[in-house]
Amino acid sequence: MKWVFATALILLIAGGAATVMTEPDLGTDVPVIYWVTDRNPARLDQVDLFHQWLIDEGHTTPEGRPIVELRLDIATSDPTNSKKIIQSVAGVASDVMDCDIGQMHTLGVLRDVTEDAYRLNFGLDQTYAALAPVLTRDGKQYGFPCNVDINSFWANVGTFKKYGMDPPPQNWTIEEFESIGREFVKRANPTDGRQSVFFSNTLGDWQGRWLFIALIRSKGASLFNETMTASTAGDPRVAEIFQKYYQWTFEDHLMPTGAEVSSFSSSAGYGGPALSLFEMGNYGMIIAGRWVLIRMRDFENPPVVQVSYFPVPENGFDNDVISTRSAAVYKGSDHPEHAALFLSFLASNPYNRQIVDIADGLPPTPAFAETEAYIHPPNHPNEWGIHKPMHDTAKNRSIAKAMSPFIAEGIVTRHMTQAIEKVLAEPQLATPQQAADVMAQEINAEIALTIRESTRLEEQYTQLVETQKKIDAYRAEGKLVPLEWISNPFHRKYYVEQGWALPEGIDDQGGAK
Amino acid sequence: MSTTKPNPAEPESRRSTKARSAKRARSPQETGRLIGTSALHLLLMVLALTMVLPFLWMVLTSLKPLEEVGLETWIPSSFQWKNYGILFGIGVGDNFQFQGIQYGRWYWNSFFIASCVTFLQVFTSALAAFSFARLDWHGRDKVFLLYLSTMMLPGLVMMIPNYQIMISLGLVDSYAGLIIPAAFSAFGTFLLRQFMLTIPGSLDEAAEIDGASKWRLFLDVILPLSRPGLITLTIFTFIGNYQSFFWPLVMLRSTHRYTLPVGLLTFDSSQGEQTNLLMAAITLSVLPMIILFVILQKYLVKGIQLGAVKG
Amino acid sequence: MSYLPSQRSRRKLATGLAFLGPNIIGFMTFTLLPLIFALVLAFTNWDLRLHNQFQDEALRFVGLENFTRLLSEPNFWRYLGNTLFLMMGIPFGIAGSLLAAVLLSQDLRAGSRRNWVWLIVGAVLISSTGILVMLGAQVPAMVMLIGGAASLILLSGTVGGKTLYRTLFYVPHFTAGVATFILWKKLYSPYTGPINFALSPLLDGLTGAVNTLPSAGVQSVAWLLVAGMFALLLFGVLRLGHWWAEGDISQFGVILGGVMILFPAVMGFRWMPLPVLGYLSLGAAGIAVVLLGFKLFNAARVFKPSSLGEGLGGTLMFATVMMVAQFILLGLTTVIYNLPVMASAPGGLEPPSWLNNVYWAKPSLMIMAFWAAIGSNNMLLYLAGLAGVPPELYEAAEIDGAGRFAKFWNVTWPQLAPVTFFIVVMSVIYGLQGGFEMARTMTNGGPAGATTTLSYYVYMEGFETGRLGYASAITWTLFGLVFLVTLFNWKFGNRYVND
Repeated sequence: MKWVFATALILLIAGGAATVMTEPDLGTDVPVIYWVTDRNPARLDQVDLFHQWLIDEGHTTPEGRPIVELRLDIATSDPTNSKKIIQSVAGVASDVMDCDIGQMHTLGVLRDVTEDAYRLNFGLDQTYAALAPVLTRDGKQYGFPCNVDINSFWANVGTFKKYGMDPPPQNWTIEEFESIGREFVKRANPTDGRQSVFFSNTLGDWQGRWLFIALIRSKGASLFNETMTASTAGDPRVAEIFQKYYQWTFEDHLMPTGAEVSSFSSSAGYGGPALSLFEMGNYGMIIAGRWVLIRMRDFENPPVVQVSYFPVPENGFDNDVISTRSAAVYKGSDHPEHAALFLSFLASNPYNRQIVDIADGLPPTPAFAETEAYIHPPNHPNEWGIHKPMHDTAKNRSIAKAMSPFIAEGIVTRHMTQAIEKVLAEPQLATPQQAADVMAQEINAEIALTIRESTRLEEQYTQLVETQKKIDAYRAEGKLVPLEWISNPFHRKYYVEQGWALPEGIDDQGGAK
Repeated sequence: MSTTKPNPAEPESRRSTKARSAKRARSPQETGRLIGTSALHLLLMVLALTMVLPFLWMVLTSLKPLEEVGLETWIPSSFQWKNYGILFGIGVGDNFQFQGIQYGRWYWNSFFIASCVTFLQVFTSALAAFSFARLDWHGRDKVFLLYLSTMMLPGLVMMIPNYQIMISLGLVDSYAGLIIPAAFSAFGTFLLRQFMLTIPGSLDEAAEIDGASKWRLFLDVILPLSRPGLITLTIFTFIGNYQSFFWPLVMLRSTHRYTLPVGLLTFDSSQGEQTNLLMAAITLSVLPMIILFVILQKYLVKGIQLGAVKG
Repeated sequence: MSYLPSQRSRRKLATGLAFLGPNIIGFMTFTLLPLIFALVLAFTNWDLRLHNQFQDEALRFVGLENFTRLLSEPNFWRYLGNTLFLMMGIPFGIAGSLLAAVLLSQDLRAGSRRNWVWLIVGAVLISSTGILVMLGAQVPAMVMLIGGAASLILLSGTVGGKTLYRTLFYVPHFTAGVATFILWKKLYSPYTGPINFALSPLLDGLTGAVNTLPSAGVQSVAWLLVAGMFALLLFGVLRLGHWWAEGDISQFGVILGGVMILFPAVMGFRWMPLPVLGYLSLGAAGIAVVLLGFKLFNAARVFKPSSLGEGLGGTLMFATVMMVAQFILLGLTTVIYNLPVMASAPGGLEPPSWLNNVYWAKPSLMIMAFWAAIGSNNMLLYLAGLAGVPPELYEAAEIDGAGRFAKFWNVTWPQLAPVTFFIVVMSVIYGLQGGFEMARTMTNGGPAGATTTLSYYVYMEGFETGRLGYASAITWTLFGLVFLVTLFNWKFGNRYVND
């Protein structure tokens, strides 16, 4: 017995020594900054590009090497970002983080880079105007996009042709969407037996949430009011969209139910099984962004694709939701200046060109999306139908998600997901109006909790509530509302288009006040 | 002819008896036993089959090419043995997806850390369990209840304070930071205490009469008799720590220090879940656990020596 | 226990603590300290977003506010219900692992070398026949795979004996996590998974049968089951009364056991398929209460129990079994009552969509948990425990003429008491805390929150919103529950262990 313990102890000590001695020597004489990002093999390339860019721009040591070394810190695929949160709060997070800027900002862990942006030329003018609300808070900039994306319906032209139909039009109304969808489903499926071909992928995932926001906006509604002090999710128009989701899934069978999705045998891969099913023809369309090209280009015979924007009701409001993966600088970083250099790199030529080439979303700097290399990538003629519309949308019709400072984004997502799930559950757990009402109630309850715990937020809230009252009064009287009063990005654009607002300037969507 | 249940601890004596009586005619009891045991075997086979199925699926999936992973057929169309090579960097070439995989190193890290933790935990828990089970001191039961109660809290909420402690001790991103907090376990203490309680108290009295100190009692009497418990704890702790995920995830930053579960995340890359590689990685990672188990489970059931009880 | 530490007891204390030493230092630093911190947290409004080194908001003590908010939050009760529901599978899991351990402790060589050889020969014969048949009949690859695996297991089982089977049984534990969850997710797949694939023909047959029978006939079966449930209820309550009269349990035990046994009937009010049955159910519960009360107050007490916790362990076990049995009958009643309606629907009886269906999601997880429990740590513990039973006790029992079952009940079961105590405590603790990984990987807490357990809720609240104060309050409430349960078990465990 004692010998067992003794031997074990000796072996462990030996093992420990071996482990420590064989550790790779990672010391460097230049400062090191860490970048928390997802594990996309392109990141390795981007690190190299960064070092090369540093040399080209003259940020070098006397020996001609880059003045800072960038290392990757592979983040988890954890949607709640708990590792980032824990580390940031504890003071040991990485210098550059791909993150949800709004969420991290409320934690107070991001560095204000407005000055750096001005100095190093990665200000808001360098990227899509619609992203301003995402990258800034209270007028200060906190990050820069690594890439940008727009989600729309991608149609597999081959699949439609197979059933003797033309691919869907780029712009369509909801009625057209439904009739084309029904026709497609009817032609593509045998009359008996299980349905195996659907118009589009399931609405129960994150894609369903993007579509949801776009659809309610197309009717003129939003999840929040103009000052984002309360949720307007109880609006009947929101309930209508819930109803549409139910109808499309269970009555028209345009999209598969949860059970039907689980039954698909499909291969794994980026973007989940939806992309494979799209290629194989089980889905006529999917909701996707440019990033799916990364995997689609790996297919042996990538399908010919075309873009259809999200449908709007008759005389509805054309819109799309712009999304981004952005990098921000950690407030507790030891090398904030160097980290800011990285953000500058994101606005640079070599980086943008790489994004265009590997199709990792849209490049952060719009100018690059107007080049021939972007619109007509030489090796991928099947894609020529999608690039220009995506960029046009991003530039002209897209709006950022409404993110209220009074509630964490994750909670809003959670409630939206729960509401959609309840409506689409088997059996249905809530009617559309109930789901909408509950969502509004829960969000408002959260907001109340949040402001109660922070004096600063409470002051802000009280002021904004006053502003909201004024807005409501003006609207009731038909007076024009000053644009400065509105912070909800959707309403800012909507009001201008409807002619309800006093214009602030030309197409200004919310830059620095 | 004796009809007592055969004692698994004494196969030798039975065999020698049977060898002598090998030419004996078959008795009805013997045939009955054969039939009964056959039925038992069949039952065990069916149960074992259901237990093994996911493992089988895992191994087969690890040999599939990526496109076939989600399909309903379990058998790959072509066996991709190279998946295992990719884990160690063989045959990777320029393929970006497979860069940065340090499987061998991670494997060693997991194994080493789990071993250290197991060793420390068994050691400290045995001492503590002895104190709770065999020694009588003021407030003993209350302290034990306190130990028990601490196990009942989900660890998530304690994660952040623990993390802060680690930072102040300077142990973030280090092996020590992974070993030391895990080396103390109320669970282990509880388990060993229960095992020690099954040892008859008469032995303690006998030892006291012989003039042995508590330490001698512990080392020479209780510890050997607790062997099944110690072995059980070793298995549990090793496997539990080997698979632990969240704590190493938060603590580690350097790739070369990752443990396996954290390293396996890299197979969930933006290029999509490389489920086949993931399964290959898990299959290989399971090996030390299986070996440990096969070796130790014999000792698990050797049980208390008859001689000690009679004394 | 005197409070003036004498010389001797001080020395004992010193020895005790000396042994405890290394363990307790680590314990205090890494467990106790964070725990106290967490406890304090539960009474504050600590929010990661507001109170960290980068913000200057002051931390506020809010007293019991977190707890009151917790209790009035409907989602909390829902998730608590989910957690408790999932825990109902624990007794089955423990029984399963005990059964497995017993099976794996048997002599697999049939007692003699000769027999053993026969076993091997038999295995070879069966395996080869099976394989030849499959090759000849050109069965699909999957069947071949399973058949081949079965043969292999049988063969190596006869040769390798217990070691092999034990390892095989324990294998799922090694692959615990990702692989198991993914696999079961595939197994449960509604239209293409093997489970429903096997169930479909069975259910079609059942549909046919049900449709030919008059619906009244089928529903009468449901009534029979209801009667059975009420019978159990009355039996359980009467037994409790009897024990009380005998002095085997205290009043507290009667009340607790009674509540548990009455619980299904009370819930039946809501869950019975017919309102009539619902009222009947409530009525039955009422009658049972009256009977019990009658017994308690009028029957002459022969013996007085010695303590509050007297006989509590046995009572709890009995009450649990009664409760679960009644629930099963209740469930069956509902199903069978609705059978004719379901069977006459267009598709007939269809297998459920398991993980995608709100009502079936939890049972799906429970089935998977049961499977995992058979070859789990508990099995190992029982193996070790079984090996520790002194054989003389068995011999003594046999001399007394005990059969197999009596041997088990009177010798094995009590000897296993400390191990069982441990397993039950750990299972309850784990059960209340768990379900997190399972929910996250397989269902993401869905559909629509049906599989969200309390620990998942804590994670959501703690990290999604950053409100660690509130999350802490939830965990402490959980803790309170677990502590209560453990306290009961403690009383029970102590009694047996000091024998």
